[in-house]
Formats: sequence, C-alpha cells, structure tokens
Amino acid sequence: MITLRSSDGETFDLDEVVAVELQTIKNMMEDGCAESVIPVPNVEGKILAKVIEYCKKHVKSTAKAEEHALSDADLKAWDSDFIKLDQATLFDLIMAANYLDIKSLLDLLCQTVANMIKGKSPEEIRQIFNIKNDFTPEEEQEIRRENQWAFQ
Amino acid sequence: MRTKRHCRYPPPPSDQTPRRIGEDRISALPDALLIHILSYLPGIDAVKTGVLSKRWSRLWTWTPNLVFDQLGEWDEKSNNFVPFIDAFLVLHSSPKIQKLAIDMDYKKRLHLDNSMDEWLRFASGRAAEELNLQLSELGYVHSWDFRGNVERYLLPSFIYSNNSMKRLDMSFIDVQPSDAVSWPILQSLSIRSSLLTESTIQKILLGSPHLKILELNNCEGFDLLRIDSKSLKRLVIHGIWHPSGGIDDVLQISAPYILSLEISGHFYKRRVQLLDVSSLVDVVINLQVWVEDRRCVLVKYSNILREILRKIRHVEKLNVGACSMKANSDIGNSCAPDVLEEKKKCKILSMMKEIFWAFLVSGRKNLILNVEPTRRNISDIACFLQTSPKLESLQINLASFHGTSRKVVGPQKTSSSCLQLQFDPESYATLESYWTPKNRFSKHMLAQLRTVEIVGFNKTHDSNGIVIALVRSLLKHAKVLEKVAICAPEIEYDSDNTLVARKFLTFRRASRKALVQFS
Repeated sequence: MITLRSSDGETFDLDEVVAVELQTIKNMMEDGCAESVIPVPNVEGKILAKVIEYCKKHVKSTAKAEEHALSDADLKAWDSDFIKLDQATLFDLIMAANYLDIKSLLDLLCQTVANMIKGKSPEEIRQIFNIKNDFTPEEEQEIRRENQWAFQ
Repeated sequence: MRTKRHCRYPPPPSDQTPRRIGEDRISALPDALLIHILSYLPGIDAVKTGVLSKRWSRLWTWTPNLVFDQLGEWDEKSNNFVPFIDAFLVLHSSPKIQKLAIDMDYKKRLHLDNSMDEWLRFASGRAAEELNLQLSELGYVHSWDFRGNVERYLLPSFIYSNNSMKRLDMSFIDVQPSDAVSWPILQSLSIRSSLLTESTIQKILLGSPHLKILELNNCEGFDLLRIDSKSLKRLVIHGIWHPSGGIDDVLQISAPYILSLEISGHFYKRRVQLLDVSSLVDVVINLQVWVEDRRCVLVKYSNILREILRKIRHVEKLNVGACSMKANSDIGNSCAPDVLEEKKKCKILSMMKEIFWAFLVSGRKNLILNVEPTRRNISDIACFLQTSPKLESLQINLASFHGTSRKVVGPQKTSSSCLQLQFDPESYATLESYWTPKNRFSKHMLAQLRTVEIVGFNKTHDSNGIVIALVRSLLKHAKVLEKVAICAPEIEYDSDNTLVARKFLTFRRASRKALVQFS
C-alpha cells in the first residue's frame, strides 16, 4: 500500500498495482526512496483524486484484475466521460499527468485539447483558450503575409 | 488598445480562486507539452496556431507528426495541396520526426513525382519512424472503375535502405526494389493495391529481419507467398485487386512460423490454399464470394473454405466472418430447385453438409461467429460446435446483413407488446438433433464450454427466437458452463429486461454454475 499526499495535505492510499501506473512513483519505489507517505507537492488534492481515479480504471490486468477488467470499448466510453472537464481542471490534470509521468493519461488529455483546436480558425482558438493576441498590427500583417500559403 | 475579453465558458464554481477566470491556461504549459498537443493535429491545423500569439509563432514547426490529408480541407479543384506540403516542410525545425503521413489522389505527372521524392527524402533525412503514403487513383471509386494497368508512383530507390523506419504503410504505389532491401528495424508493413512479384516479397522479407506484421490488401502478382521469416507473427491478406484469373488460379500460402492469420475480402475466382501454417494460434476468415454464377462458384467456394478449415484444425482461436458463414450456408441452396424434387433435394443437401464437415474435428478453444442465426444456418452453427469438442468459449456477434437497422422502433414502453421471448421450436429441434446420443460426436460436444457471449441482441428482432433457442439448447447440454453473457447495447434498463432475464432463468441447465447475465 502506498500513500500519496497532495500539496494541500490530502492523503490517498493506493494499491501498489495502481501506484506503478504513475511512472514517477514507480521509479521512486524501484530506487528505494519511497517512504511511507510520498509527498506530491505540485498537485492539489482534487486533481490527484482524479488522477488516481483514472489509474484505478486503467490498471493493467493482473490475474485478479482480469475479472473486473473492462473491455476496450467500455474503457473508451469511460474515458470519454472522464474528459468532460472544465478547462482549469483539464490543464491542471495535464500538468499533474506530466509530473507524475502517466503516459496514457497525458496522451488522452492532449488529444482532448487537440480536438478543441482542430478545424477552428485562429480567432476561434484564441476565444476558446483566452489567448491574448500580442502582435502589434504591423507584426500581425507580416505574419499573415508570411503564412499566406497556410490559409486559403 | 486592448478589448475586454469575455468569459466564454460557464463561470467556475465559487471555490475556485478568482484569478482563474479568463486566464490563458494553455499558453502557460511548457513548450514540450504544447508541441505534444500539436502532434495530434494534422498539418493544416497545426500551422494555424502560428498566428495565435508570439508564444505560439514557431511551436508548430516542431511537431513530430506531419499529417497531410487532401480530403481534409482541400476541395478537388484546388492545387494548393502540394505547395502547402512543400512550404510546411521547408519551415519545419525539428531534426527528428516521428511520422510523415500523406493521403491524396494521384495521377502520374513528373512534377508531382518530383515533389513526392523530395518529401520522402525529407522523411528519411529526419529519421522518420513511421511513413504512411495513401495514394488513391484519381477517379477510382469502385472495383469496376478498374481500367487496366494504371501508372502508379514508383517508390524511389533510396527508400529501400532505411535505418529508422519502424512502420511503413503504402497504397497504390509501385514497389520494385532493384537491389537488396534494407529495413533493419521495420516492424510493420502494409501494402495496398500494388503489383508485387514473388522476388520482391522475398527481398522485403530478407531485408526486414524484425518484421512482425505484414498486410497485403488487394495486391497481386504472386502465386506463392512463402514466409520463412521467424520474426513475422501476423499476416493479413485482404482480397485481390481485380476479378481476373482463370479456373486454376491459386494463391498458396506457406508460413510455418506465423501465429496470427487473417484472410478476408474478395478473392473473385482465385482459390486460397494454405500449405504450412503449423504455428498458427488465431485465425480470422472472412472470404467474400463473387456472385456471377452462384451455383458453381458456391460449390467451389465451399471446397476452398473446407480446405482452409481442415488446415487450421489445430488453431486455438477462430473467428469466422459474416460473409464466410453466409456463403457456407448458401451452399445447400445452390442445387437447382426447379430440377430436383423436394425430398431428393433435402437428401443431397444433408449429404453435402456431411461431406463438408467430415474430418473437420478441430482443437479450437475459442470460436467467434459473426452470423445472424437463421433456420438456414443454425445447422452450420451446430456443426461448428460439433467439430470443436475442446471449445471453451463461444462468441456470437449478431451481424445484420441486409442493412436493416437493429434499433428498437417506437417508444420503449409499447415495445413490450412485441417482445419476442418465444424460442423458435424448429431451430430448437434442429439443434437438439445434434446433441442426441446416437450422434457420434455428441459425447464430446460442449463438454468444455465455459462461456458464451451473444453480442448485439435486440429483443424485437426476427432472429431472436432462434438466438433464444440456441441459448436454451446450450444451457441444457453444456455441463461446465459458467456464464452466458448477453450484450444488448440498445436496450435501456426497464422492466422488459427483467422479463427477458426471468425467461432465461426458467430454462433447464446442465451446469449448476451457469449464470445468465444481461448487459
């Protein structure tokens, strides 16, 4: 049993089989520097909770887990529900998945963000993500001209 | 002058710190993560992020995946697709890329070929691990558009020597290596719509010592596919290219080390014959039949299918596609009905079936049948079970052939009046005849069957009665049955479900552990 402690003091108990999904934690366990409670200073409690929720669902099937293992289709359906998040949580999760090195979660989240960008114009993308256009009007004109081939 | 930004998404819950409202969270991510996000975008979308803000202006040039799909945002008349790719590659910054994927219509022209050579040179130079070149013949939509030997893009010779490629996917490209092929780390190769000679295939296999998966879709030019490679684990042959070929046209496959084989698609008049496939563990068969002259083709088809089944008796896991099942059942109806009397016809039918299934007893443990049980094919299903005495798991995917929707029509409440819970007695009787003691195979039939899964069950569909008859019959005879799972994805949970579930509970079962589960 591994215990993780979030930046705001919440603790989470994990079975080892779930804990190894978080590559960072797994490395610590293998290097022998995993103490009884592992602090995760960059990640808030409510985000860490979501990360653990994901890892529990995606734990690689061992002999015991296979009985409860979801089919690929069920897992995909669960994933598409999981990613219905507000932007703040989405980006917090991306940072957490990156820090804790959970490849499948990071890929899922990045694909989700990519889907929000796909097919949109730059103006729409700026609006969705609140990206400030910091080009001066002259700079913007130059960029547009340079990239004319990209916009038809 | 800066305009006020509106908050475009619903206000966050009150426990969130106010500074998060209207914040640009995405630009705060480190470069590596932004590039990772961009790697999921096709080229046309990635490049647009360059004008978002200064932060974003050069990020897209580092994307590891270069994906260009002509069907995406270019209409047919536009000739901007090729210059777009040229410009994109010129501005690209990263010394290493993961993937180059191009999907476009192709018609042989010198300047197009030159551009494509340059793109491939770029990919090689940047150590691309994955190359995906999907060309389609301009104007080719259906197989009857085939106009004879059309000129394809010729894969340039420098490509045959590549140390970074792990995955290569090509469509409508001439593969003609003049010298030896060297793809030392290639793991997966897929070739579609090409003419490949036996010598080309041998060169490729020799030059790819770590090749694990080989897929040949609609390819021609070889009569014997001999794979001596010990690394190759999976072989997929999907159809041949064109309905030509004579009566003696045979494709022979010899692959003593492969574990997984898939034979599917249209083979027209070509026969498929397996030689040595002794290591096979799982097989998918989904051969389609050319219905020009139904009668003689179907009989010939049944011989082909039978020979394949005979060669794969040792295979643990078999998946039989809808087309193969259907054609096999249609065999019986290939006798000219206007010539023979009913009785004779029935006798010939059952003889043909017996001949077909004789000596096909197998060692298979997993069987997947993609079929909609009908009175016509219920005996085939029984024969499959009969020739699988070691079967442990059975899965039936209820395929819908004729495009009829399997959705429940009308509001859920009234459908209970047309709920089909009765099993079909005729099918039940047919099945029971296979399990009678005097049937010489019946002793071992279903003796090891543990799980049954029925996928796509719909309570108001016509074939239900037969599916229910099948389940009832299996419950009655399978002595070590543990679970019957019925997946009915379109049924919402309501009282009808308990009615159906209760119906199954009334069936007699041979195994005390047997559990019927609905999902």
